[in-house]
Amino acid sequence: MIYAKLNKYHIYYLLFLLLFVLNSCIYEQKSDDELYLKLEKEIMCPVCQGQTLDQSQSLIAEDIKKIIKIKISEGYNEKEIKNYFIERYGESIIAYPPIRGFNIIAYLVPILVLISAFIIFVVFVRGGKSKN
Amino acid sequence: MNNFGFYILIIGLTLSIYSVLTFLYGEKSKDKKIINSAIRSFYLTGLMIFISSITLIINFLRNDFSNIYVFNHSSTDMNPFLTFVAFYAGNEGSLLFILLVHIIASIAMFKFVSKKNKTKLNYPLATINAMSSFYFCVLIFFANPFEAINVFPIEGKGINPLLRHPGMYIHPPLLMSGLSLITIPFVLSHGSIYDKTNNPEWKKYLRTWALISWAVLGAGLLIGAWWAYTILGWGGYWGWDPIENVGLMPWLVLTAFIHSIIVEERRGMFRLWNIILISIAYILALLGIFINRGGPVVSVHSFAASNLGFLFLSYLIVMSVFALMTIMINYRRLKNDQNKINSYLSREVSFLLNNILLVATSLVVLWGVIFPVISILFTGTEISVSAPYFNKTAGPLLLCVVLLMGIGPVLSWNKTSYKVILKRISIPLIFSMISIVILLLYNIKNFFPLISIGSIIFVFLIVVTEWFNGTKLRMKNNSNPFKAFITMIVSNRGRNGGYIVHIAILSLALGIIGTKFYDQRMDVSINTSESISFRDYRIHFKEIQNSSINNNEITKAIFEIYRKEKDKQKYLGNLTATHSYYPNHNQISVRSGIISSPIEDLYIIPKDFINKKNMTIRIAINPLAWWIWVSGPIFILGTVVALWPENSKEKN
Repeated sequence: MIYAKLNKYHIYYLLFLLLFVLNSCIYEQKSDDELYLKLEKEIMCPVCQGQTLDQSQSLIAEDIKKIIKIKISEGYNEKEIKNYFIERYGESIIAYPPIRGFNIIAYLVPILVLISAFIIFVVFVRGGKSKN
Repeated sequence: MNNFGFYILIIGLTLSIYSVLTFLYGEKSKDKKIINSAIRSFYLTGLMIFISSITLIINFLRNDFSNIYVFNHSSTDMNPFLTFVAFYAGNEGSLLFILLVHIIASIAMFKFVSKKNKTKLNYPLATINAMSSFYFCVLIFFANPFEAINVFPIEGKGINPLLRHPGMYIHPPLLMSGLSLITIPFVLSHGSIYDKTNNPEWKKYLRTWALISWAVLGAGLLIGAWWAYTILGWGGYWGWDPIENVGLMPWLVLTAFIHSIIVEERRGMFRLWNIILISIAYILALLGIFINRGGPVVSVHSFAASNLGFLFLSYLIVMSVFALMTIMINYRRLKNDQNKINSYLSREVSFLLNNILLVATSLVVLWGVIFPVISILFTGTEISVSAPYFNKTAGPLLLCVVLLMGIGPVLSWNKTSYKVILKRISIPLIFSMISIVILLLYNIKNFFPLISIGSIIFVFLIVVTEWFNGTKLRMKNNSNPFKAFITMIVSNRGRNGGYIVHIAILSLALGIIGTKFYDQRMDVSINTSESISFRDYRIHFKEIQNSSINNNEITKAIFEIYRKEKDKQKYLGNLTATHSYYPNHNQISVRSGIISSPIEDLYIIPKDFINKKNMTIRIAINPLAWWIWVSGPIFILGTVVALWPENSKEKN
């Protein structure tokens, strides 16, 4: 019933929201320095509580940063470097859940929240609309 | 002294339980005498909390190290001003602090409510006292700040070095107060439910107290970011750490609430929705306290960590059920107690969209916070959810909220025609388009920053045009434009205070975009009296100063900073980066050197001291970071304007 009554405003709102979500999924090519700074933000420090490498000054973090620099100069790409650390420290070394298997849910739920927020919005306005 | 403090806590517990029972019985029997007795014991509870707090402070000032809490958080060489910080530096003291804020705010709220409405507050006050009883029980049975040992150590451990920073005088107490203060609008919303006459005064109380807790929490978050920026030495200010997130979530929901309560005040809508919102904010605040006290997620903020997680989890569950039950029982009445929406193109609808986006954002953040636990439960693998995840999921949603700040004000209540909207947005829209074109010419091509800066300019111009038109209108009978501007601001404090806060948020957004997308970093190893160039800067490493204060090794690296301007070099000043080692705590604290300007911050982090002459530093350029900190004073100014009580004469 709700879907049948969608008008153009709803579509605008929905497009507007989806545009931002889609944009954030687009990746770009990186130079070596940029790649290093990116990895530093996306790899966790294994001994610090919940800190990424760039936030941490611990000795282990500094060592890992050195390894990353060496790997980059040896020509390893982003994926290879990440896999190297995953093999050593496990999945939790990467600062975000992997986009596969069960962990896809981590990304699906925000999208579901957004869609249901939109539906609630429409139901709220329609349900609350006065007859006159 | 220690026994005295403990007995005072026990008396406090007894009084608060007595108060709960008498409020409940008084409400049933409508006996004035019983209610008065309940109110008196409520006040006395407050007095007991006050006395026990004073006792703890006296213990600190007397350097009574037989008290374990004092022993752990103080030392004889500690600056007496830090006593205040030491008071809440650990688990026990911070719980007492939360209880103190809780009771002061409750008594202030009770005094503020008019006499007629006080009679509707019996159940809410019973709730408040039950909450106090819970904290008393935790303090007495699990986290006694007056626990003593029989030996008298001559020296204490000293305060955590990370807390020795001006930001620490204000950040933790503001955050704890903010989380604690949400209780007040929550219980007030229950007061408004029990008052079946739908008295408009409740909305005023709710708005005021929600604004207070929202402002306190917001200021606490911002000062925490500032502290991280100046002392944690990583060049950032917000790490999406679980503890930061649990402070942010209730703040976002409160932001939604302070908007939608206006709709209820003005248009009599959203009654049920508002009560749901404030209950969510309260439960999220409890979740914050739970995660802070030994929740299941890892965080850097381990200052107040304890093994009391299970207690606070049960408390969280009980209060959630209580909030849910209250809504369910009154669901039908609240639902029918509201007006209807007339048009999509109305301010109330834009507020509704703002509400839904803000709640969705905080749910997304919540999901990120709890997902590591879910992953372990279902797959057994440990994963991390940190900044990259939140930037991708919550970031875009927050940008939508910023854009809505431009759309909301151009819509009128009830209904707006297309023509009016077009007229109002045309000039700001043209200017923001022009600015996007200019940015493109300057080779700024990222989609996200482009859209963000475009919307920031758009929203800013919307507010400015609104103010400009208002001032022009008032200039007719008063030629002084400044005076006209002030009368215009004062004429509608709530709305204009809100606009000032919007400008603060824009400034904050600008700083976030600049630092997030255009920061530059370089790691170098450098000798003393050597110079290096980074972008337009020449950095000259002058010297290293070593000193030792009370066993703590402090190393300062001093740099001279020059900027190339045409052929000359302009001397910008000295910059000191400090690296301190505290053997008592086995802790390193790094304070970065910063030279700040509205365009960009030059930020030097000391990393490694290789020998007396050589060190590794990280040089970072953080564009527009200055705007983040400027937003703080603007934010407070806006809140004060919005909260300033209106003269009865000025109404209408």
